[in-house]
Amino acid sequence: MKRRDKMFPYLLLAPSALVILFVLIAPLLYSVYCSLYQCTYMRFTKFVGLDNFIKVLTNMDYLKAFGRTFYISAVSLVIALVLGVLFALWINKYSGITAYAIQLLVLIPWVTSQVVGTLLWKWIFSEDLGVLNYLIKQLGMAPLKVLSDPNTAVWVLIFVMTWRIIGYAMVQILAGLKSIPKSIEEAALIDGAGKWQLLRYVRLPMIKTPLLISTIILTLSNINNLTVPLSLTGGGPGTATNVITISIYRLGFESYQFGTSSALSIVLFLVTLVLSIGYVKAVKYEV
Amino acid sequence: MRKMKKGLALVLALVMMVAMTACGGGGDTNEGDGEKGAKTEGGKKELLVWTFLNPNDESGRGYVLAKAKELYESEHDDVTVRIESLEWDTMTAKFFAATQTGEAPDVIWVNGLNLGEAIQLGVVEPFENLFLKDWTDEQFADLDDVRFEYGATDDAHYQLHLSTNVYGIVYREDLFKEFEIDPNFESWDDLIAAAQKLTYVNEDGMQVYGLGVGYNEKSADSNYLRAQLFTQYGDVVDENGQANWDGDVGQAALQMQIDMIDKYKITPQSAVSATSEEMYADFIAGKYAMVFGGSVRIPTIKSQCAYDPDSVKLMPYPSSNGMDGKGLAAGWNVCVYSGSEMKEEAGEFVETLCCPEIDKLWVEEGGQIPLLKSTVDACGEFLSQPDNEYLKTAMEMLENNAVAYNSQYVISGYVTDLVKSMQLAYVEGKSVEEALATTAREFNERNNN
Repeated sequence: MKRRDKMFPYLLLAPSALVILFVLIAPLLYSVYCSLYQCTYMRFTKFVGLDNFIKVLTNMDYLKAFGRTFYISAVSLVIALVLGVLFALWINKYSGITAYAIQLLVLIPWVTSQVVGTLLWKWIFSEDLGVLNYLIKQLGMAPLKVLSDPNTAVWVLIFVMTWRIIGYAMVQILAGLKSIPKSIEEAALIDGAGKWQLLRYVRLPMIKTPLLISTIILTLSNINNLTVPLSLTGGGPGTATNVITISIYRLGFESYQFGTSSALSIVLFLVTLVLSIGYVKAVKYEV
Repeated sequence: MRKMKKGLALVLALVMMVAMTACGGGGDTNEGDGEKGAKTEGGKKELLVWTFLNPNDESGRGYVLAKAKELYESEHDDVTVRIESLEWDTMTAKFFAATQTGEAPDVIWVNGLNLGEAIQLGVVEPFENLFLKDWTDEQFADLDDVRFEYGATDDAHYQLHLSTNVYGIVYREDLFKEFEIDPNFESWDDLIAAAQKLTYVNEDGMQVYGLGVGYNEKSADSNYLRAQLFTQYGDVVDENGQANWDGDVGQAALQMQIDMIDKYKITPQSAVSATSEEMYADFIAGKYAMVFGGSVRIPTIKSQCAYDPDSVKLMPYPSSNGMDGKGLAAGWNVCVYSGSEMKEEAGEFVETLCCPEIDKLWVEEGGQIPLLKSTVDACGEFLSQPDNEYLKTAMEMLENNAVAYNSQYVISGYVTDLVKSMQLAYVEGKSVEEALATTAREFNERNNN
């Protein structure tokens, strides 16, 4: 093979590699750099080594925020995946315009602007002027205090985050279901498999890959989501919905402590990286 | 293979260089395409201005800025003003970052909360070194007030205060008349008693509350605790720059905020999850009879409310412990970058922004409180119109009931700390002492005063 021919694939890869370099790698390295300095208002005043990391990892508020983030993300993810599978199995029965219409409907939250979708729900759940309480009052019942009660506010956040991602999970899983050869399902049915056995032993193993991809993408999407919690509850009431991204945002863009906020970002990045590797290893998926 | 890798590295490096060169220009430029400080094609120098205002939009303030630019350029044949409009909430941080890279503008709108840092960092130039050195005592006296003194020392004034926002109580006069309430409250007790009367279900079945506020940390603003700190201390930090809200005054004020919800029931529980923006929206919708608010919000409230817009009024905070109520006079500080190569020209642009001709426009077109005392007479007819009564009230409050931030110390994030105290006490169940001590400690550690 001529040298020019050998170079050709690399040349084709170069634009994507550059985009990744500038959009992902360079900011990441710059964050690492910031995290090693006392950096306020982007002024690097003092090299502090790992002090920023020690500071954030020994701060109980941030550790609690991490715990809250995982709890909210995990509950939302599990609900989304279960409902995604159920929706996909349901839609899989249909074809033509009905199937398209249902898919489109369920996918709308994923493609809608997060701010718009979240503010819509916030308006619905608004306590004094919201639609939900208006309907409840029409039924002669006492209005609900969903957003000002820390116990219910968490579930409202989980609900909105689930509402947003459920369509994506469903489409991925539906694509997996569609790719299962009919002959395999027919063979299982001929062998006497019931509906549950067909799902448990044929369909679920064969949609392992889309399930894994959905799990990874939606985990990252939930854990790194700032828009929904910030727009819906702003982290409150109290600290009930104060997820780690809100802490990072406040440190960086309200207190302008870019060194500390970068350190917290790096910790979050490492945690999500470990989680992603764990998922892949757990289902023995070859990348 | 090694040669191929070298070749690839070379190609990547070249593409990177091209990409970096391409990325080097740009920005949020609204007009002009010359480089900062460089001679333009016509041989003119270029003065770079960073602001959140847009001279090309239809807003009143944008229009006045465009007029100021026009006037300045007509008086300075050799200078072109390039105005870049940036997002207000990150503009000051960008300015601080830009001072490190030599890309800072000549004139900058600095957020009121950050002027202290700007002075401490030495990135803003005293006006005494610029246009003020040529001013007469009469000129100085015409401009000098609590706003102009913000951040000033004996011999250095660093900023021109624009978009002044005077905080007090925004209220609906129509409801006060309906319930026969006199808005000239002598004390907070009077205000609370009035708010209890004004908490009712209206003819549309809507629950109206007497006093609105937003305690969401996402977008915090004024509240009773802050009003008490400014009234009784005149500041949010003590003489050493430490948070002052964990003392008796703060504790009593925080307890009162809780009582306003639970005991007096003049503020709904939903206030703990409401942002200040939502509070204003709720006031516009008729949910509140009074809210903790700022004067700059009144034109928007008037333009959007479903009730009589002329009934929207502003009043100062009531007295506390025999002291006149004091609210914050916040705003934007127009400064000159100390590292600018065009400091003289930049100073002259700031001077243009506060000249009588432009100040009249700031009032009549921009809906702002005048900078110059002489403008009050020049705009007498405009200010006497019922629509603009709030401006007169705000001017009086500025004179008698306003304090500016302490610029000697860094106070970033204090507003969020105050509402966080409420969240900790009301939602998390901490005692008021513990809640205030927690946020005061966080403030002190963070700002390192």
